[in-house]
Amino acid sequence: MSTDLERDLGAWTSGELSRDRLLATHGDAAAGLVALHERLAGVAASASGTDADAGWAALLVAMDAPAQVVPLRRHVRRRRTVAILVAAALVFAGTAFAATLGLGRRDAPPPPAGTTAVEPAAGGNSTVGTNDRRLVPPPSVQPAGTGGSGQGPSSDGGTATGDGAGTQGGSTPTATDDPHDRDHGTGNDGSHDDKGGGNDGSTGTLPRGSSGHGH
Amino acid sequence: METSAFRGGAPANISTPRPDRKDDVPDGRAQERALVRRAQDGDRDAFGELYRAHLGAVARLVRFRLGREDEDAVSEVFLRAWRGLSSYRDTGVPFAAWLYGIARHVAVDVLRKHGREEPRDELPDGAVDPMIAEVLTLRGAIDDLPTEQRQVIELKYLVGMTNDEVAAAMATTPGAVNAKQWRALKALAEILEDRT
Repeated sequence: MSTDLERDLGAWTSGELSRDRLLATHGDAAAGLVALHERLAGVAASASGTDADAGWAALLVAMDAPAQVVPLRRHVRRRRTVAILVAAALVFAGTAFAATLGLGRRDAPPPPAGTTAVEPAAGGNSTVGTNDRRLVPPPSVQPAGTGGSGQGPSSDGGTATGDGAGTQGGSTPTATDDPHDRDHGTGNDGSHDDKGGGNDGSTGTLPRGSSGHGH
Repeated sequence: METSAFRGGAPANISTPRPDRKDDVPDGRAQERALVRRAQDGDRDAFGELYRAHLGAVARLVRFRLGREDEDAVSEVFLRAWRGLSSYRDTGVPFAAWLYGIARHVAVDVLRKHGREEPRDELPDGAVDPMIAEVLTLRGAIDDLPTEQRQVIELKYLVGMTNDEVAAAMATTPGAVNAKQWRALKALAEILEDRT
């Protein structure tokens, strides 16, 4: 549709351009739109007149009446309360069940020999084959003279002196010890054979990237 | 190549003047704003004047949406307007556009309450007033228009707003409203042609 046609149609509806002139200029392109415009205007004008006074009187009565209160759906609130109670019960039951399980494990008798849980030797830290921290007692303070005299764990591998060759690691082999024990009672059953020297001491190699200064 | 037969500027008002419109003159908007402010303060007489000014437009719109006269629905439109006047903010949008929004909601509620109207195809011949049949035909086609075009058609032909008022309601210019109106009519003509 051209802008000229749109403008002329607007001019026609505002009375600034005659219908004949519009149709003569734009022909069928304008005729269809003119017909539809008049059709719509006819529908709008066909509405019977509403009695304004009677309508206003009725409206005044309605305005005076209190607004109709539509009750909210109470069952929704009730349903929500039930849902919250059920959720709380589930949480409580789950917590209680978890607590019961935890107590049961703590009170359970020590596992028989041959299982993965190993009773640690006194002063030793030989825990072979288990990752369950609940089965491992907290480390106790080593009595003086029973362990190696390594000066600090040297977590970054820097300052350990490693001159201990004592009974570190528990010297008594347990039933779960490797029959081909090569660590001479150090409890370190890995492939690494340090001859009871603990953490290899000064001969240990620094981890890559380590500055060698303990924190 | 087509040329324009009109040498004047863009028309400001292309709608057919309505006898019940009191705000076609520039002072009409200011007068209406004053009435709205008084009505918001609880002045029933001021609201009564607004009622009389817009009754025809609301009745036309309700009739067009429902396919029948419904005085209760018209009354409901003004009742909701009265109760919601405190929420009305004068942002330059004509009061009639606000009523138009309420009327559309009321019409939807009425249709929902009474269920969908009986499809025309299943009615026996002669059971429907020809003018009502015409309304239903046009309404069905208008409902298929894009929202913006439908709003322009309803605001122009049913509410009887001027291009300036429609432009204020749709945040555009009167010239753009003129273009939208005729493009909407062209689209409407194509829809009606497809249906016949």
